[in-house]
Amino acid sequence: MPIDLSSVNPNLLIILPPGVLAVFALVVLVLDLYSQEKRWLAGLSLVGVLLSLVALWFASRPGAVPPGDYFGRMVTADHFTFYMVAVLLVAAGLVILFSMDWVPRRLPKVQVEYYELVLFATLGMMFMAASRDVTLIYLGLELSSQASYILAGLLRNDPRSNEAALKYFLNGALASAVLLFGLSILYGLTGTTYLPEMLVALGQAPLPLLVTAMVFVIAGFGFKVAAAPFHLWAPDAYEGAPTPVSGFFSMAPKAAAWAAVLRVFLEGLSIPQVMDKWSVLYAVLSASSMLIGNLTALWQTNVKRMMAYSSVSHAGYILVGVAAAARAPEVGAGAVLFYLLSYILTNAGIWAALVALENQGEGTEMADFRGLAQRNPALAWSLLLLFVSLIGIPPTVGFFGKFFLFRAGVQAGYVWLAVLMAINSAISVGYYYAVVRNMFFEKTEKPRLELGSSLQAVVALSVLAVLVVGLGSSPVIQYAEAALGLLGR
Amino acid sequence: MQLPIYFPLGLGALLFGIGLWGALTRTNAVRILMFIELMLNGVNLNLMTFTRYYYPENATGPILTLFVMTVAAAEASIGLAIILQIVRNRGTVEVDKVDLLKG
Amino acid sequence: MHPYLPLVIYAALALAVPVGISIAISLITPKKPEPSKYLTYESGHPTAPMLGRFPVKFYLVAMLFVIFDVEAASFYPWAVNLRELGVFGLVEALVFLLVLAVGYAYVWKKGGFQWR
Repeated sequence: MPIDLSSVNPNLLIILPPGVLAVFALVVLVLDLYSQEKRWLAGLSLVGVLLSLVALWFASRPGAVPPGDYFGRMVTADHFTFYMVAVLLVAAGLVILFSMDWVPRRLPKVQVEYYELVLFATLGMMFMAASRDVTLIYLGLELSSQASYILAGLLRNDPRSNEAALKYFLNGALASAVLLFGLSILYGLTGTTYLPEMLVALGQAPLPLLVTAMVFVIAGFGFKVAAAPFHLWAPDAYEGAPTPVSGFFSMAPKAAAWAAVLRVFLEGLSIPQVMDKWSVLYAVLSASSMLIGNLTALWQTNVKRMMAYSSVSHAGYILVGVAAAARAPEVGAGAVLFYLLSYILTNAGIWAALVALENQGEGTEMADFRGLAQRNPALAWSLLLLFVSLIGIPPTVGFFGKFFLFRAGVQAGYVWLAVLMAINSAISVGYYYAVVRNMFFEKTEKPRLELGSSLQAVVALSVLAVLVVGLGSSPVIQYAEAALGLLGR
Repeated sequence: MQLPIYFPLGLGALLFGIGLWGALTRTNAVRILMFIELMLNGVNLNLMTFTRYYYPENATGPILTLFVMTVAAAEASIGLAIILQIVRNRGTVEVDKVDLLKG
Repeated sequence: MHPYLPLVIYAALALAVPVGISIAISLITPKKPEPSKYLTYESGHPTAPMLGRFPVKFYLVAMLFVIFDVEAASFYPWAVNLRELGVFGLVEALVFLLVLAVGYAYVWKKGGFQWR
């Protein structure tokens, strides 16, 4: 039976996905107070994420919500919103799924709080991606960041987790303040926080002040996405935070921050006088992130820390697309959006493997991967494929992600940056190979590594997605590039 | 006579600058937090000054200010909770003595 | 005048402030170290040694107060525009209150208000 949505107020329909998630978050919070058994609440959180995806599907059907702004111009309905919200919900779902076995073991007292915070952080990120009003972008950013600070410190008696939370918090709070200062100048220059109006009003703004504001905004977002040289908090936060939380950090908050970057810079700051300037700044950040991330990752012995530096370098790759978007908006932003999806899908499986190791009481050092091919051949081969995707070798999704970024870079005239990206992908083989060598060419006495069913599901989904989305990338990239076609019009 | 806009804006920039300077040079976590709050106050002063001088009919500036204040309060309590946990486990609030994670 | 000149001046000023503060502090501070100057001074009274620390529960109460207090400030814009917003505003405010109430119930049930 087809459901007729034409009579439903589009205002309600567009906030249905975050609304469903918010209701589930609150219900889970209340049920936690009255329920002795906590495990089913994890399932309920997952159901909330899935229902939110279903709601998104209804809202995103053609004709259900006409493109435009709703709720007093706070929430935007366009392909960009739908794409990013879907990506974020997928990330949240995968994170909840791979935490299900881990949380009762390591966080017995704050089990439900863990899922709560993931849900609230996701809610904030959804609003970051769905709005083109700076006020709501800022609020979403803060909701997701503050939930993340607590998540990083959830292992309350582990000094390393405390330390990760402290460093993440201090850097994050500083970044927010810097970002806000830039935004306050932009508000002063234009008198609005609504990005399309800002764009119109910026034409008369004095250029020096505008550039100052832009630099503050870039620095603030640079912290949030951990682009070098603003990345110093990331390795510590990743290493010290609980492992599934680090996985969450590497997947969702960054994707949301990238969405906000694209929104602010392509819809608000895209007047020709400043476009070239931020494009060049982002290109420089991109080069430094790739080089610093990859070269430092080579020396790491802890896989969580290595993945942190790897994510810095991936921020560098994504920045190629952002820099290119100034000159070729559709291709550049489309490549960024596609890469975010590919990075999330690939990372989910790798972090699931790290969580599996911790579930058996082992660490996340390089040495803990020794002989993984003996202990669980399926997992070892899956990891090999996922690392291949992170390096960017066909036919995986990572290859197509990098290919689109490369193409965008070349089209925008950043040939040197595109070449640097290719060189860096080659460097990154070094540290991924270190893990692979430990898995396949070292012997171990340790028993078989068992994965719970939820972890198996995540690894399988991840591997499947890496192949399927990779080989079937053309509709996704078409949707991603079309997402920008509506943005800013 | 109205105060020239440079004075409140300068004060805002000064507050922000002092906050940034303190946040980058201090090592006591509580102090860093206080300096960050100072930065946010600079931002708020900026927003309210712009509204008062240029856009008196505009509500978005004050609303953003209100949100910044609310968020800052939440941020402070989360930060203090994190610092408290550090003090319990490590007995220090000095950031440079919290150095288990390196490499 | 070059358009970026004000920016350069601004940056120079921004740099001058922290450097100036640091220099001024070291210049202004008279340096006549005497042992009695390093003693704690408390309104002329002989100072007692610090007796333990403040219990953490003070912090907890203060924190909860600050959070709920600032949330209440969000009602002011709604109260001012009550008539224009009408039913929509009322529903929005009720949703806001509901979320606050859930938070309140959470704190209560978890024992946040207990003065142990």
